[in-house]
Amino acid sequence: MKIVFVGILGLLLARSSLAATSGCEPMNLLTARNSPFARIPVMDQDGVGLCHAYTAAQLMNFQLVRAGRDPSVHPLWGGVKLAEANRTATVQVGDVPSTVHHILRRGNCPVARIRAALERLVRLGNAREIDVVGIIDRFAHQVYLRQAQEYRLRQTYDLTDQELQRLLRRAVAEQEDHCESGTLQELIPELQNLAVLRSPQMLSNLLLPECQGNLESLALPRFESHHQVPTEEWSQRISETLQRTGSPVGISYCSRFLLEPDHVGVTDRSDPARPQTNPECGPHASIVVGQRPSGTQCQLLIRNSHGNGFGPETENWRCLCRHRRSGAVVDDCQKSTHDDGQYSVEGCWVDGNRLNRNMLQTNWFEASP
Amino acid sequence: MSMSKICTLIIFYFLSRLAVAGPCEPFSGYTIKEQLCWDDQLKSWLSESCLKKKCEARAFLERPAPKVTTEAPVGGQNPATLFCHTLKLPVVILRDARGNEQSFCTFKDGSLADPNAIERHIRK
Repeated sequence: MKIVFVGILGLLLARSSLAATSGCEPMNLLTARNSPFARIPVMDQDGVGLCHAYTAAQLMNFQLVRAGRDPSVHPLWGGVKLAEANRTATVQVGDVPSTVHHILRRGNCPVARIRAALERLVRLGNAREIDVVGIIDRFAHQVYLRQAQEYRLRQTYDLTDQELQRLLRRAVAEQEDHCESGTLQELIPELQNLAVLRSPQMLSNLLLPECQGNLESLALPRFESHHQVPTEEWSQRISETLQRTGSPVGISYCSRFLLEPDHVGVTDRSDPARPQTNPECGPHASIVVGQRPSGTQCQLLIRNSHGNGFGPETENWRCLCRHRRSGAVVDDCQKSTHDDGQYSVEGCWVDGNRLNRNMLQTNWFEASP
Repeated sequence: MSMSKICTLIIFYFLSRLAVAGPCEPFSGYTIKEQLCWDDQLKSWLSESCLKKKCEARAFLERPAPKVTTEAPVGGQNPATLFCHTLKLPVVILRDARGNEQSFCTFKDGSLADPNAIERHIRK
């Protein structure tokens, strides 16, 4: 009798396990033959809150490469176009669908043009690239901190001209402490001209000379997004979309769970249009590029935009690495065994059940008819 | 101390440096190329110059870390590079040989270090 009972229990457990992982056939867009990702590098957004634009650029570049074109969308362009359309005072606010929409509607400035615009400043300042990027980086970060402070005090992101100029001079002065050569003061008038009231305007003006007259229109498949999904169904929906489209799926989620896997970022979905989130949620956007069954659940492969090293967000997960010299793929690599400079991290496997509790939105390009 | 002991110590010193020096790789930006080498003891990419002479990037990782906290990341900011910003170390994004992007913190002497190592050193 005991044996029969154990047998039935085992059968039931096996069935529930199968049900949980059904539809989770192994799939990996990073390692697939002729994958567009061979031409779309891992990105690093640094301290700039442009995750929506990085996600949009990767989703769009995947479609472009799949259609036989070059990856041509630069995240900065998406951030600037969205900020212009929404008239926001910072590029660091946005969502993936709107970013995609505005790039498609207003045209795309190719990556090479945007790089040329940044390089122009390097030559103008007769400085090392590190110094010019350093100034923009310091300036953008100071503007960001001041805007955050201003928003807390007065619910506005607007800073005065004088305030922006003060921040710019401070950024240049601080950078000069680090600078071995170059004439960084020469950059102040140029950057002041660019810094017309708002940082999106500054970036827009910086890119304008290179992008004007060189915009390309992108013909891509239909773009879709979901944000009203019951908690337990998110990973299943992502899985279905991955398999149906054969394309990456953009996700907006509480990134705190990457640091603390048991974190519950979404605390209340009673109003599906406005889910309530934990104050520590840390809203973020990335792309899902693969799936695999693991025990009783489905794991999803997330490609982040935080560089390709073993950072704080990779420590709790097994990842997909590539050997730097040979290019060989090593699956299930971990910080404890592979953080030796030989490997670059290209994605990490996260538990679908844990991701479910932190999901806010998915978006993707439908398969071409 | 005899001459042979001094020689042994010198050889041991260089061998120990070689043991922690991992692979080196060129990283490039818009106009620069920087050779970075992996230090397996510090678990960090460092400018190649740090292998030959003292540099601030290595010194920072070898001495006790300052007490630093950062604001919570917003808009998906890279949590590791926020430590560079808080320490007022400019961040530069370079691409490795395969084209992947990676941020680095720049020290006053121009030497570069891996933000992930800086973040771990501070949190240790």
